[in-house]
Amino acid sequence: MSSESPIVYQLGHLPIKDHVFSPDRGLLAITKDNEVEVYQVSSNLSVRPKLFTTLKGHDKTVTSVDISPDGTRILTCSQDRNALVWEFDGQDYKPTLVLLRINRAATVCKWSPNGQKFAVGSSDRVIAICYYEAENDWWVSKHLKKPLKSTITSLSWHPNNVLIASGSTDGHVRVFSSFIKGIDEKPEPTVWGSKLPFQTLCGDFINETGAWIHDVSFSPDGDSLGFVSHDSTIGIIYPEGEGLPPKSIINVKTEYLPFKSFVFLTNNKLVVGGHNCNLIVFEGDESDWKESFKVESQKDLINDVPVHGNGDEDDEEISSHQALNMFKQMDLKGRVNKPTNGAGGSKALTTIHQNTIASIKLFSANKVSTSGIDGKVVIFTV
Amino acid sequence: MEDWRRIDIDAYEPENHLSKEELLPNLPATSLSEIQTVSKQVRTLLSQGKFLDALKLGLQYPPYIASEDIKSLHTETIFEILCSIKNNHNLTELSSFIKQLSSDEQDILVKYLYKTMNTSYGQKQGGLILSWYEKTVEITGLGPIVRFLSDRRTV
Repeated sequence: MSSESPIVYQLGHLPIKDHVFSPDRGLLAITKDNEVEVYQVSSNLSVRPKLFTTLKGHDKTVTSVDISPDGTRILTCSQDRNALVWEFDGQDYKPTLVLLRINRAATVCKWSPNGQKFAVGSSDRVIAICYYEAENDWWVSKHLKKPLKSTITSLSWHPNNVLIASGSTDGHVRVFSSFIKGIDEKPEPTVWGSKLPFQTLCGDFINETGAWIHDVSFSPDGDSLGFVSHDSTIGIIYPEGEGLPPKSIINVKTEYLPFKSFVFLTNNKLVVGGHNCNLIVFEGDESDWKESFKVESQKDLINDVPVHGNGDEDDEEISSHQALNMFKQMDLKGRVNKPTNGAGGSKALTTIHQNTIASIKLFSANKVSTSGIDGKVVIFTV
Repeated sequence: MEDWRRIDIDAYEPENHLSKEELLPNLPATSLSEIQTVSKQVRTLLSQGKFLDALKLGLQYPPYIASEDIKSLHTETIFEILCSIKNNHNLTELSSFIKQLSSDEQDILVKYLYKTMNTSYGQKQGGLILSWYEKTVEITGLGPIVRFLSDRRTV
């Protein structure tokens, strides 16, 4: 179990679908409705981040946010079918529109590891691979189309900047080449393939149940690929090599509600979280993966754990759960009781997150940051 | 101004549609005779008192790709097993049956429990189905319920 206690930032009560820390951990960007809020994070993490600026440029829900590996550019995408690249001009962030050429919502965006390209997934059944064209002074895109026929829910870059993995709502996990002439150098051959012109499909896998894929990620060495899907399972694919069936596909069934997001801590260790509101660590290799521990002890329908009275909680305001209780009491009994503090009273769940964990990112070697539908950003030590 | 929200943008690119058939899992179809054979074997096992074997056999080959009639027939077979086990054992003994199933078999069992709840004979025996359901979820956790909801391989 973790020795250090988690650091909790309650940043309003609106859902935070996605969050990202800058590489130096000095900035935190979170999505909030149609906007993105950028916070300054103190090196002393227990200090609450200070709102630095709000990026207003989208006119529909922002679905994803990412900061470039050099920390200078913020990338956002939204259901308004646009992606914006925000650059800091010394005073404020100025947006540049990306030529995505999609006619449905953009669902997810990710910078490549070297920051020269980024990918935007959409419900228009394409992945737009975007790069900067100097002569036109504009971000342009090339589309990965075939054989995509459903909404892209998640993307992950291979460390070589060329391969990209996608998860979609048809239950498929696919690996493509996004090689762009003039931008990319010819990559070294990997277990996924050696000849990689743009749009090469290097792998196509389907999960057993055909349920939605919520998140995909390459392992840190890029030689295996993990995914979580809506059937509460975790899958890890170990490819054998070009044109060969995979060495092994591990499918870990769990007893929890579905996971929305996960990160690899090492090639043999990952941490998942989602509708169960808790983080769970799994460890394994190409022969098998097993649950190793839950980051927080949790009370649920089946397993009972004692509730720790955590007095120093984060909310100064009352939570939506308390508000609902107050309303119920008023409705039923005609009187208002102030919400009781302390164990059990103020919280509906025994975990810190009171609603679905929407995204998990690696914070440092042994820390992960999470953001949730309950408006919290939390840094856990695992 | 034209109401652009009502434009069927899918009509412009019909080839990009995912058809219902394409979403079906790539599995062999089950024929009526196979299901009838299983049903006979199950009855034999039940009459011999081999309840666990009967349950395992029933859950081994769920007809994922088959007509509704075949699926219903197999649901009746499973229901027969569940009734038979319940009638010959204590409520507490159900747990030991469930524990001896593999996780795949447990998932399939939950699928059939839900399916039976949707039938008229299942509703008459609601108590029986619910006690099976209670015991199963106690052991397996929420996973099989989620998989019942999300699995495209329906029984």
